[in-house]
Amino acid sequence: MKYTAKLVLFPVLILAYYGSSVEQNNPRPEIGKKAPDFTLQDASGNTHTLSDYEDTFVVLEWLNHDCPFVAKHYNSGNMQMLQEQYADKGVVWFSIISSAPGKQGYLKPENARKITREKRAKPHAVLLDPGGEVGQAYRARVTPHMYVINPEGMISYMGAIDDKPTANTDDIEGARNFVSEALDNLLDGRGVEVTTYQPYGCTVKY
Amino acid sequence: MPENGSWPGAIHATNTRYILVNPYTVSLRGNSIKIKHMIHIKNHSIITLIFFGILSADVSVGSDTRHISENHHPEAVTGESILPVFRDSDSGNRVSVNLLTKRAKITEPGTYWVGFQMKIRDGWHVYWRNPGDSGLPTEIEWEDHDYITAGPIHWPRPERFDEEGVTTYGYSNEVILLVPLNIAREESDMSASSTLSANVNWLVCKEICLPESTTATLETGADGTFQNYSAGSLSLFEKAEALLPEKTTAWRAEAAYESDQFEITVTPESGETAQPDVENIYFFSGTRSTIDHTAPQRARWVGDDLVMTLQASRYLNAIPGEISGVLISEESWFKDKEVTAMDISFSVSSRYDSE
Repeated sequence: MKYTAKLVLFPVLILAYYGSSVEQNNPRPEIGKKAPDFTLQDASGNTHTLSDYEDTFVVLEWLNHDCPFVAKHYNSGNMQMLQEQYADKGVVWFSIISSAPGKQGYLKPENARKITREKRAKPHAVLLDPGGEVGQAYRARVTPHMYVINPEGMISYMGAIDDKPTANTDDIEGARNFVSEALDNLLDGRGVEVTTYQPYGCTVKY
Repeated sequence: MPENGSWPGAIHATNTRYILVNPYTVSLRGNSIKIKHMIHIKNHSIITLIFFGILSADVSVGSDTRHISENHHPEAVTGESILPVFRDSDSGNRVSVNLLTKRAKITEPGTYWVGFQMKIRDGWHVYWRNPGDSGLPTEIEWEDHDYITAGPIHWPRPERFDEEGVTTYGYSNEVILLVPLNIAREESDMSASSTLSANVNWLVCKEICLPESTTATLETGADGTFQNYSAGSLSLFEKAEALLPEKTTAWRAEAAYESDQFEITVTPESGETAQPDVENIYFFSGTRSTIDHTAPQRARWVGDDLVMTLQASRYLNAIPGEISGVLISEESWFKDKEVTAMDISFSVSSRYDSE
């Protein structure tokens, strides 16, 4: 009898969990399922549509340069190194800013270009999502929140960049980086060992 | 308050000023990264290892830039005018830290409690040992000392913060983190005064998050007296101890895991327990990636037992053997004493229905 009771309870919990209307209209992203498609403008005014990038691996990185946890990975050079390293292997890397205008981390296109230059960041593009729709569709909760999408457009990894939830640059060395681990495995034709890990960071400022 | 922290009657208050000469140098060796921080510390002597390293510009470029407009730094240490043995005087921080000792003097080898009183600016919060969906727990790193060893932080019951689908656990307004010091001070140590330093690092958030830190020092005189001890701090310790979750054998818990849910059964082991209203019962998991912090928690009384159904975290990778945390309620868990927070830990079994 307990079993039946739980079957009823479960959908109730799920509905309660999805607060906003945006979330109710979109299925939550899942490993092995199609990544939500989107079209966004980058900081240079070019338009990018995710589904145009099928046949390549895509990384999505939720970004807010004023967040100490993001600064950890940019001030150390870790994020730039990953961006460059995987660009060389044909991986398309999008940094996405979902901060709303007036909120921390929001950048006008020219400022996004400037800080990308200053940080020597090497993403394929910095995408601007000031309305937060894409962030909400991916349930991006924190910066950095990472997603790896395979050439079939399926989500292969989502969650933390690594297993050291701190803002300390000294913790990068020795951390288990789930993004590079997933990409290395996938590029070698192997499966991904850890497909989700609780993301850490500052909340996304929708 | 003088800039260097030498306020009347104060002990040496280290107020570090960090000036970055060269924020970082990065050298790559294969895939690993070596980071060297070059930090020049302006006006004080104790070299502090900064836990947070080099972070966002408004934090790390030096205290001068941290003096932003809304300076709110309580002049009075407490409402009761209690003098702490150490007072952080960096007014750029959103949290000020006072170090208090429970006893006046080291009389014999044993355990001596100290408290880090964090006074948090309105609207901001710091984090519990499990910060929840984001954030970082406060950390205290003690300098090595000949005969003093610090124990772990004893965390008061946390508060829950919900914003935009993200749930975090921590403290607002004020919190006192209690730490036991094991002091093995022998007769031979009695002739000299002594200093013990602790680097306190915390993340403080209010929409945005900032890492802050201070170095607190504890000085003892040759006779074992804690410098600047104030008798009034005893009342703060009593207040802080009352907020620690009760360690009790009067309740016992166990859990079963099935279909992304934990069912926890909490059983009274003595006649002194009460049944608080289930509406206000909440379990704070002591570890991340275990319980979904955001999902509603369901509690009900089944006979004498409290049964709670908790959604597992979507980041749970393996069913844990044991879970510990703090169980809170609005009314007391006991008939004759006021206990609204208690530590519980339970083993978890995997359940397969055979019906």
